[in-house]
Amino acid sequence: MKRTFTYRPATGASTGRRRLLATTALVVLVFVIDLASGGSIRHQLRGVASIASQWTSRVGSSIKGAGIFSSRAALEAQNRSLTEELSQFEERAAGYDALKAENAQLRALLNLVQSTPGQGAGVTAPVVSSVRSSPYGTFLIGAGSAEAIARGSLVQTSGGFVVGSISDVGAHTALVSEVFAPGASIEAEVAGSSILATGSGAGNARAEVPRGIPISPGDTVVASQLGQRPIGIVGKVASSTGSAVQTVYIRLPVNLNSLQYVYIVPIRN
Amino acid sequence: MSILYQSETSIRLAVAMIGIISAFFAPWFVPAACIVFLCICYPAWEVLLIALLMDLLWLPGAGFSVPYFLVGSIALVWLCAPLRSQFLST
Repeated sequence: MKRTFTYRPATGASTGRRRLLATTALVVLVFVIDLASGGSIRHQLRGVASIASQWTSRVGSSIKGAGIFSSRAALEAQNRSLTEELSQFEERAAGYDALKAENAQLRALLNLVQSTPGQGAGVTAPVVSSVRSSPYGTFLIGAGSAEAIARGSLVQTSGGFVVGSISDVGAHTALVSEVFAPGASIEAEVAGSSILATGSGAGNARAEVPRGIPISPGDTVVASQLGQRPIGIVGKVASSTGSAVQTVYIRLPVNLNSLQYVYIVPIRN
Repeated sequence: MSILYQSETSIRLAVAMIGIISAFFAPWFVPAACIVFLCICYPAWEVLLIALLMDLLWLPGAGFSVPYFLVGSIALVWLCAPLRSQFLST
């Protein structure tokens, strides 16, 4: 009888199964311990993730600023046109631009705070993780209970749009659950009509409303349960003559991936 | 022991490392792809660590949320075990 070859060692199948069983028991135990301890393990991990993310972000900015991945033609043109002194000035100018952009975002957030008096002093926090990393529609911010952030606080962009709420708080990090997380539903109002928006992640949602309601792209969507704050704008309205409903596609007017800072609205007691 | 065993171990280790690192930085489907690959090819206990990492990092804390990554990985790694021994060994 002809035997087929295998690249796998003949022994070790039972060992592998035992390891698998042990690891399964271990991860379940760790998860249960984390739940029982109020998330002590996840808070430590998120702290590590926050530091690592900030570090890689700085390294990435440095590499980008140094132009290592610029095209060859661009580098040749730069070499022709720039002297050493000029390149130093350019480096300073690039740093100035980065600071200017950061300043603009922080100024916008400051304007947001000043334009909404009576809601108490909020906190401006940096976004320290990619929005795309989470399959659950969450992202990390670099402020936590030490900065007086509490679970349930609303998270706003510089334009005043609510992007989510704080769902978990560590010492110096907090997890934000997006309003439009995949599968999440929220009651909202648009053009004076109540709708049920179902999130699809990355700041997008959709809702089905009767065809008779006049909704047009650009209309602001507000959520009554979030204090009539805006949560998005209508991006597109799709309807067919054979259907009694029209599908409204809602989106945030800002790209969640490009958010660097958010404003945390404190909870009213 | 097969001459290819070393490279097999290297691939497994590399994919596991990619899975762990991408849990922090990359889009969620990158660790998911690593998990699926490892489950199909090896009796990979490390996929459970990647899944645990994903859920601890990104699972919302408010209320009870189902740890889809962990549950899915446990199911996948144990479902793939008999299939792998059936089709990938002598």
